[in-house]
Amino acid sequence: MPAHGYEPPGDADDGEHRDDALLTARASEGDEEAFETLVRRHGPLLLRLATRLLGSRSEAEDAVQESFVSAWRRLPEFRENSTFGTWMYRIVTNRCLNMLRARRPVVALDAVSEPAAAEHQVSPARAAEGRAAVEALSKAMVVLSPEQRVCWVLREVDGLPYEAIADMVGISQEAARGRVFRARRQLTEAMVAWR
Amino acid sequence: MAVDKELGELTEHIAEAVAGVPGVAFLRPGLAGLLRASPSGKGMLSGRGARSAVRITRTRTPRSLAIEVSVVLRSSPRALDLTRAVRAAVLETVRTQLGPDVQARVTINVTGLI
Amino acid sequence: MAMNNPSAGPPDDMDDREGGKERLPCGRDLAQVWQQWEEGQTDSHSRSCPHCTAALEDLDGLKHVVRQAREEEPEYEDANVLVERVMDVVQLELRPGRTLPLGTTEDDDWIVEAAAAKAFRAAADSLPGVRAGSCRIAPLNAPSGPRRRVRGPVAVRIEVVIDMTGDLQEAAERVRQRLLVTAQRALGIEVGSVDVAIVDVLDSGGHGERPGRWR
Repeated sequence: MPAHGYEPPGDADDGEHRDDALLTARASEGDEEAFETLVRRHGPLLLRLATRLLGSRSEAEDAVQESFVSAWRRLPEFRENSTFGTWMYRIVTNRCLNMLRARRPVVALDAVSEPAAAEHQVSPARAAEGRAAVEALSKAMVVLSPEQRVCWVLREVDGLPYEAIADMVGISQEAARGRVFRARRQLTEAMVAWR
Repeated sequence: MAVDKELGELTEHIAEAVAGVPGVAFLRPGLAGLLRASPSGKGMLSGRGARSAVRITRTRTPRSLAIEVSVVLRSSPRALDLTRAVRAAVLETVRTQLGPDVQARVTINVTGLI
Repeated sequence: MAMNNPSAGPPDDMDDREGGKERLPCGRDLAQVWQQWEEGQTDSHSRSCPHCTAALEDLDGLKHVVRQAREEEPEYEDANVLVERVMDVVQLELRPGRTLPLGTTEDDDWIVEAAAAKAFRAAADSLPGVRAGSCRIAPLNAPSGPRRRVRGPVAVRIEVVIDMTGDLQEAAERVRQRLLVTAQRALGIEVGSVDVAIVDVLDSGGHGERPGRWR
């Protein structure tokens, strides 16, 4: 699994990208089996992205499902100036951004992803502190605007370069840096208060 | 109107006959033809969809119909042989339901192969 | 941590403007301090100044919690439910598109381009070392009237990826012949020309180059 989901466009050395290109060409001409392969191949990563952006696995599933259906309908217009993966990443990001905007004002502190059963070999005290820190972070993220949240998650959790964030969301690099900075500012402040 | 009821019944009979042709997977409307638009853009595989996969219109010639059937076929045998079998089934149905005097021009559209 | 300029105004507006720089008590711009650290460029000031180091510790602490949160994420290996739900919708969609003539000019049988293309791609895929991509089919003749569909032979253009060493022209020819057989035996469609475009070539190492086309 790559460290982050962003694939620079035009990376033609990767065998899977070229395979994606083949599948995308077929799918855009109505080949459903090819599209199913693409869904299967890119679904897990996009689910992870959407869950990080929305904080909810079930909402993430809806977002990714709708994104794929939308992609199917728009495939005939898909031009090969980016890869299918990058294109889907952008669709999912923007759909999640709109969902976050539609959520406001934020009411509940339900923006915590369901925790997995922690099976780490750490002392219970440390594990508890780690868990508590993660929960504190989730709560702190509630104060972020949708735009800040999206840019910050892309930067901090997915590790995207600022140029990519700007491209994904359709803003300038400067604006992307600004949003990430403001998000960090608020989050560090909240985490300091928690400590 | 009696005429519409007649055509409606004919549609059902044709759909049934076509579905019974070996090699026909199911009826499914397509957006066949470059100039005809479908109202919703979405198709269904049964019920209402099946009926819209069979379109019957009267032509200017008296006792003459234009019938258009859209089907999804299996990938074998040859599509052209299957479409001819479907046409034969359609014409047979017309003959059975409306008698030998009614002419029918039959168009077959293959909207999928599985 | 003491700040000179507490955040003010609606977050979104502040984000997009350069105004509202936050300065640490030492005078450094907080955004710059963080950015330089991220880029691996600290100087003697930021390494020794208590305000800068505190600011960097805060950011580091935040990143640490993010790493912890990442570790807690479940593995998303299984997309089966997603695939099912997506394909349920996709399979019901209809797409407008041209239909192509089956049989002779006297027949009135037609097939949608996507279905014929599927048959052609499957035929190309069945050849060893060949993978089919785009496949387009169009009538060779011009329409005889504005509302009439065109009968007559069609032109097929298929893009393939060849995974083999050897004569590419021969490979293209094999694809062409296979498609002509499919047109006749599986479909019953009259093909006037087949254009095989080799869009990629893989040797067994998986590295590729992009050659030209063969008609």
